[in-house]
Amino acid sequence: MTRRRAALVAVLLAAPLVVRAALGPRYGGELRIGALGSTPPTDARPAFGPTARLVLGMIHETLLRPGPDGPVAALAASWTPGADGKEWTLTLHPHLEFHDGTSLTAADATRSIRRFLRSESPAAAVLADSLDGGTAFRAGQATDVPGVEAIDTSELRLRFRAPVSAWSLLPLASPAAAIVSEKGSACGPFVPRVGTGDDLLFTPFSAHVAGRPFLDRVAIRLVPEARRLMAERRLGRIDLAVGGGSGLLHAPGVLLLTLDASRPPFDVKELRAAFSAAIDRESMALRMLPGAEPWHRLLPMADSPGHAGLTANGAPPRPTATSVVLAVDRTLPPLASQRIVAHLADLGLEANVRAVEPGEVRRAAAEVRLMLFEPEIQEPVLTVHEAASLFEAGGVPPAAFEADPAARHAMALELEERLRANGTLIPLARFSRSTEAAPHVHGTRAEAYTLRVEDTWTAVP
Amino acid sequence: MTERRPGSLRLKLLAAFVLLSTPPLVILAGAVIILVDRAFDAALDQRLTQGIAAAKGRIDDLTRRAATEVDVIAETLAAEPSAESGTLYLTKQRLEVLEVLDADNRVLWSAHWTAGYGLLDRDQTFAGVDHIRLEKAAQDFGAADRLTLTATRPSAWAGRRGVKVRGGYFLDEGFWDEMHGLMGLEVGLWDKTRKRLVTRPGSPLRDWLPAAARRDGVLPSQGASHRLVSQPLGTELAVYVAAPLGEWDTLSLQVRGLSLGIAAVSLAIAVALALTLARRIARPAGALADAARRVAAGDLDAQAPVLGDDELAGLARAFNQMTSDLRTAQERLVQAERVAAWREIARRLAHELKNPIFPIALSMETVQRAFAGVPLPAPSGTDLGRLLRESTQTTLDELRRLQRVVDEFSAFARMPQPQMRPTDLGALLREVASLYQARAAGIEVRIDTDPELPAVSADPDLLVRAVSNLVANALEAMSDGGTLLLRTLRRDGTALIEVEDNGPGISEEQKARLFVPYFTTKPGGTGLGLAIVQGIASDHGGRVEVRPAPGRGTVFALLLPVPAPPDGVRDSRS
Repeated sequence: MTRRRAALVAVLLAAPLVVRAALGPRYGGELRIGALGSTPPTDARPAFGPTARLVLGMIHETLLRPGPDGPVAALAASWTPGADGKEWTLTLHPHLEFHDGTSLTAADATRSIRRFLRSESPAAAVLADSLDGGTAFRAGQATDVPGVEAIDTSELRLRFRAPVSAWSLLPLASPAAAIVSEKGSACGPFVPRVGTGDDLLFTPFSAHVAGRPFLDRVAIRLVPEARRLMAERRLGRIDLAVGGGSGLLHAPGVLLLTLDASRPPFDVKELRAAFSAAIDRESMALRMLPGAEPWHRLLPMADSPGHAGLTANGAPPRPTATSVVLAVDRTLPPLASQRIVAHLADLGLEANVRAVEPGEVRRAAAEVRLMLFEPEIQEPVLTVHEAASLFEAGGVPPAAFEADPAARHAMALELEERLRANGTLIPLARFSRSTEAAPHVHGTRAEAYTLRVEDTWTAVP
Repeated sequence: MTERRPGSLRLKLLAAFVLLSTPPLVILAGAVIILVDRAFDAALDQRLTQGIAAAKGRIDDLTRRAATEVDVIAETLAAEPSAESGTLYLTKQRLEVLEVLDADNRVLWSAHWTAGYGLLDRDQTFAGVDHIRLEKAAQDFGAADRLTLTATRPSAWAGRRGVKVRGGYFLDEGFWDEMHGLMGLEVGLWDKTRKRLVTRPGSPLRDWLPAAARRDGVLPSQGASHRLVSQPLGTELAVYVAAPLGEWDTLSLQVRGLSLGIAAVSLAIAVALALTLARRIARPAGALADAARRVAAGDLDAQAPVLGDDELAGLARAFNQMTSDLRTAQERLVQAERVAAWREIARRLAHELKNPIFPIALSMETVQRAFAGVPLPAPSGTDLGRLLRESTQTTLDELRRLQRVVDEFSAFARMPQPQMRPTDLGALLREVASLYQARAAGIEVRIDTDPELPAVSADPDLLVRAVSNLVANALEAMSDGGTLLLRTLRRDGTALIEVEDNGPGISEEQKARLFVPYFTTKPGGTGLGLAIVQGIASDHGGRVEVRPAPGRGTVFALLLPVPAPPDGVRDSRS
């Protein structure tokens, strides 16, 4: 067969797919997703890593979602400030339901917010600080938070200690702030089912606030490493490879190296500075992380890569230890951590590498940690606060939450520079995860760091 | 003296058999075990030596191959015009270890450690060995220091001189696993300075190095022993080869087990045979000893069992003959003593009775003569004369009868000493039979003599008298007729004259008193007949026996010793 004829045949075979895709979404079909890591949590909590964010985003729904200009509606249809700017009233969409068919009311929302305020979420800490009685409640010194109350079945009121803008409501967009019924039932676009074998199974929730998802069934297969994930995708066993391959890019995160200054060898500031200066971010971004760019800031949403927080003077001091533990996010490309190992060896340190789940690397007991810092909520001030909480470096001033977006951004940059001055937080590159999709899969999108599939549909019957 | 326990001879015999058979078996088994162990050791040493040579040979092969390939790569790379084309070329190469270093030893490109780009190459080398290095290589999310076998050649990189190409193979677990598969031995490379061992995964060598790295020997590891040898590679490295003794141990144990098993079985068989033989030997001896004890206790009827036809059987037969002879001698002695005693009594009785009998008889005769023809008054009608005559006559008759008894007692007491001369017992029987032919009316007399019975030393007159007494008693016992059997026979060195009747027989009570003088069942008998027979038998060194006849009647046997034949004369009946 000549090349021209072969091309014609290929076009003719692909034509139905193209035509079908052009006709737009259709209900039905099954989506097979491959994701890295072990079994993710399914209860409302802070989510780390693409797999946890994907699963929690499928099961749960929040009052608000983050948008480029502030919060956007989710379960809450609207939010209005009070006259003094200290109160905000959120109005729920009508006829909301949980997966078990029970009605979702403002009481459920207030109960979920109270649970959120006491969670480990950095955004919850920020919200608790600004809410009336929030700090005492979060600390366990009070049994109720007066700043959160249900007015009626569809409205709830938040009262802050000072006048705030709508940005201060953004913490409610955290996956940890998902609204859950008294019996633990969620209200996200998909309902988790008991699966057979190793796959996680989900079916669409017809009463979701945004309507029934297009897909009839979603199966998530957990894969231990990226090479196997891509192999599954190439073999056609999965339709989406989350966190692998090339394709749909998630929001960028910061490849972040943290050093524990409380113990040797990085209790010496000069060594931290020397180590940070020795890392060739250009080589790392160009050779180790395809698609990455050298970065010096903690904020992935910053406009510029910034400059190094610490400068090294003279030869690096001799380390007081000979080996360190390096905790690595197992969803990262191995070359990134190998590069860090090479730099540590240059300093005379032997690295004992421990690959851990994304949610565990922040608290791993290690002198060095390498992670992809993807903020809980994509907002500069909240991001800085979250970065500070990585090493309990203190909070941010409440005033930072009241400024306008531009001012908040500038203040966030200033705050993150102060954080980096200590040399314990070393940004290396700005890097986006990606999701590779099969050609017949449409409608998948990345909302910040979460892959959304409630609007996904497949062209194959 | 304490009495010995029965069976001690058996134990001694058993111990003797075991002691004699055990040393040869033990020596044989030990010799087999030692020889087999030596053979295994020699085979093992040879195998280890070959293993070391194979390992070193393989390393040398790889070194040559690496050098050849790196030569080509360095030359080709130097001709590449740009870094991109050079990179493209290098990515197509198949060497496990491949890197390009600049003049300052910084990594320009690395296949096994991509993350090392731009950083100093911090490989560790080993003194005395140029081609073996410790390279950092990518492993999972980090790196591992891996032993490599490399060659280094100068080259150029995008026109830049002073560049080095280094390439080769890993001497890592995969290499040693392959060596293990080829040789069947545990093999590894030991880094003395860093105390690290590179060997196949799961190798038992890991369990004992580095403590035992300085010596050769047999060391336990995971429950199996290994013998190991080593050969240095430079001053810091050494190739170790170890052979598991598990299979050798198993084989050696099997041989040992077999040898010991055979020895044990042989010993068991020997013990069993010894037990059997000891029992066969000791039992007759024990029975003989038992019989001897019974004889010593007075039981002359005790007999030792005669088992087989060996010396012990001969001893038992001799013992039995001895006890039989003792019994016979005892019986004879008893009879002789009894006869002597009764003769003494008879002599004294005859002597005491004889004295008064004569004057009493003389007085009666005198009275009889004095009143012969003299008429005597008859008071009250009594004829005194007739009364006197009858009384005196009765008295004289009784005195004459008493005198006969006294004479017989006297004759019994003064039995003459036998005049021994060779006597044909068969002829003697026929003579006695002819004497009683007239009295044997109505009785069948049969004579059965042994023609081969030699002449015995005896007094024929006394024997005739003894046999006559027996025949007379037998005829009197068959008053209603019957059969009288007279026979001679030989038995156990004794000549027998048997007189058998088929009369009513003799009760046990009568039998006990048969030979007592003056005991008789016949009216008018003196009761001395059988006593005389016993006396005559005793005088001839023999004795008398009485037993019931088969069926009915009685057998009296007169046992006389048969003289031994002269030396050189074979006695066919002995």
